[in-house]
Amino acid sequence: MALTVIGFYLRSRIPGDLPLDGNLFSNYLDYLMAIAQGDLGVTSGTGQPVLDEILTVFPATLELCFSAFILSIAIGVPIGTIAGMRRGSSLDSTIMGISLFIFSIPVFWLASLVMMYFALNWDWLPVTGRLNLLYEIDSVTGFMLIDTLISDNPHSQEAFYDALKHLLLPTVVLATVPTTEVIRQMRNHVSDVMKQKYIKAAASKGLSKTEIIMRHVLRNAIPNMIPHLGLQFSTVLTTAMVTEAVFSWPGIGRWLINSIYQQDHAAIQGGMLTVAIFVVTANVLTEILTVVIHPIRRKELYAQH
Amino acid sequence: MHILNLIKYILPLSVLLLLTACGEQTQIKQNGLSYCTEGSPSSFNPQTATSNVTLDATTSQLYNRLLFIDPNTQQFKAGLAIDWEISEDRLSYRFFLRKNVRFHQTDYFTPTRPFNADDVIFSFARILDKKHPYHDVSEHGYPFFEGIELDQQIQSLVKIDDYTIEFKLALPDSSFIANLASDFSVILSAEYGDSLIALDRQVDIDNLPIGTGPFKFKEYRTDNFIRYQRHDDYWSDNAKIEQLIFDITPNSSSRLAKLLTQECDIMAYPAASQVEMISEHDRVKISVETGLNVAYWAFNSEKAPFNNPKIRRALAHTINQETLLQAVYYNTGVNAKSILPPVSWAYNPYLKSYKYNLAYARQLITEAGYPNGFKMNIMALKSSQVYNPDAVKMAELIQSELAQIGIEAKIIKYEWQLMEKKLQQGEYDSYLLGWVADNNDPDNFFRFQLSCNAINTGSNYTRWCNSEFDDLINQAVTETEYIERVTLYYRAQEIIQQELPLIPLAHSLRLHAYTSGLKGVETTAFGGINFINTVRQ
Repeated sequence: MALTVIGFYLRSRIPGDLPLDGNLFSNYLDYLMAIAQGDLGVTSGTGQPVLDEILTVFPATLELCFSAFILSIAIGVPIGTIAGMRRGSSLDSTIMGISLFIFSIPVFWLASLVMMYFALNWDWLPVTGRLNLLYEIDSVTGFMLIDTLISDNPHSQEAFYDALKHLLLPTVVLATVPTTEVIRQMRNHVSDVMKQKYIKAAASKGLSKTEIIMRHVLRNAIPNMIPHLGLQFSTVLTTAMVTEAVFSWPGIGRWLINSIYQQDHAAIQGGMLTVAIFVVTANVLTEILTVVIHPIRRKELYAQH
Repeated sequence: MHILNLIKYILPLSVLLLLTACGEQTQIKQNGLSYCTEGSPSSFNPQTATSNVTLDATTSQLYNRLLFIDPNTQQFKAGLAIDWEISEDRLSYRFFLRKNVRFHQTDYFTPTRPFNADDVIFSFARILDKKHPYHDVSEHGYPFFEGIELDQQIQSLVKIDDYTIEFKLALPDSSFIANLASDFSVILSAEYGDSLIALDRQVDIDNLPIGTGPFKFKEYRTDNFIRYQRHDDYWSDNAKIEQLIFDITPNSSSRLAKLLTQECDIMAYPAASQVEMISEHDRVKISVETGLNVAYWAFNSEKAPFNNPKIRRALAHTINQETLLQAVYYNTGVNAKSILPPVSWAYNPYLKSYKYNLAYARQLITEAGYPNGFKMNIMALKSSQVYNPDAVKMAELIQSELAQIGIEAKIIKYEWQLMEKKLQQGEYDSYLLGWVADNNDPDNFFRFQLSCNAINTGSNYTRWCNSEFDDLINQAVTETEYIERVTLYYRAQEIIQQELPLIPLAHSLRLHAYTSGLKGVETTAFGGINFINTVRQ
């Protein structure tokens, strides 16, 4: 709400941008109605509707964020579990120390470093962009990995691998942000669970360590971690913007930065509004997801006393 | 859990898949070419362009002109016109047009007839005739043609028959042919224009282009990339590559990184500081050519204290050209005394230069009435240009010199689109800019930047108007003899040197970097790039 007020005020200052007949309040209502219908104005650069441009670039950022989350879970859960199981040991301290160190590295520096080694010096991976431009892939969903698989371009197999190669470095760099949180949360929750009596009962039943972890520990620890992860979303999104700038990833971060350079007010506003809405939605969804997954929280909903 | 057990198998399998994929040779690279360019075009029609970025992306790729200038011999060569005749009184120009030239066929337009005189008439009438349905369609106007006042130059354009047209000029003009050969004078499709009127989508003529050039337009993602496809019905030999991509990468280090990892095959304007590094790399080559360009520091002559030529001359004495050449150009440029580069046939070698002398500069400023100096701002472009690899660094060097004589200079950095707006609004003290010639006629350097008329059409941002200078350049285009024109241009350059609406700083060499396996990249001194003969070995 506050954002729309600020946005409306800024745009009303630009002559000719908004239809400003009538008093201030009715103009504001018109502005809100326009946004509700999806009319975010046109960019001053190309004259294209802002909403169209956002719909083109936002999925790229989402793809990057999702991949980073998936990677952070894939790496963080095992490591966090190990740290939690051996809490207080030197292995635990080492793991926490290293993850904190990686988290403290400024993302733009890490991105440049990674780019320099993996792309330039060792020639394994491409430097920037999302896909080698020679592949002509229609943008159906906006998610390159899906689009390359469903494309009917004869080279779509190659294109899929190319997209993966392009996705790898930015994902690794971006994943440093949530991974630390995942490790920390897993460690805390796993060590809490390990202290529970039913773990002792399971061990005395004769279950192996692996079975205990799979059957009891993870099922109790992971649902506790998910709400914290959801809250991380806004941090990941903002870090993604920095990562996009370094890797020239065509997402909303890079698009917003360009709009700021060109002083394109309608675009900046539309972009900020979209990002804000998305973060709020993500937080709400996380809450819902937690209730769905976590039986205890579900009981809290139904329980009266 | 059984599901979790599967992870044990999925992870190593996917890693294996990835590794096998890495080894594949991409056949698509053989038929395609990526060019890393430094900016987005403002439109896909060179008629409306102001910047080289737009010309690079469009003129040689999508369109043809009636005639063009051979990059090696500087002679006029036949393009869409196979021959031309100039009348005795030099007022009538008759062009004989090429037959069997086909326009592009794309998913938004299919031509039903080959190129003929109607298309030439359409392309020029759009600019000349204010009542033409397409005249007001361009939001940028036609800066080049307004600058040379084409509508006053051409009295009439007549179709003699389907393959012959005649231009009638109001006054004899030696630069007319050169202007027709410039990158701006492209030929559009009249049939496409008519079909767009029927669909009420006239704006598409500049955004979804149709031409006769070796490549046709496929896709454009703003600030991202442009995709071109080979035009298989080109009137000359088809282009050798099937797909051409313009990868828009404003940051020159990113461009270089892409070149080194072979994501791009050619890069535009390597930063002068990178030249040495590139020449040591064995997979990458650099090509160097002299450029018909100039970089200068220009002033707003309508704003005090820059309306006083004494101040401008004083500031000229603060410029240390040697330092600029070393620190900004890394020795890829030459000193400039005149706005014309030394390779131009009208260059005046007798001009006196302003020696670097801070004490003298301070004295002049005090005499002009500013004993305590003053404040000023300098506008500079962020991205590298043909004529200036690093305007911001140049501004910083100038700023430090000015500080030593008590002038506080503030540097404001811009992208070109924003800077153009600010220049048109007139709220600035000075700016660092330059000029790349559009053709080989010296008139091109003078008219757009410094003529009185150019203030109205919006390309003379110095806002300097000198009637003697204007008379000289106007008379020079009516003369045919080189001797006559040279004398007039010598005097014109003397006036510039005396009044100094702008201080010429340097002429830059044109640099291009490309991967070693590439042959046939053609660049012209006027700033265009041509991929028609480019082939991968």
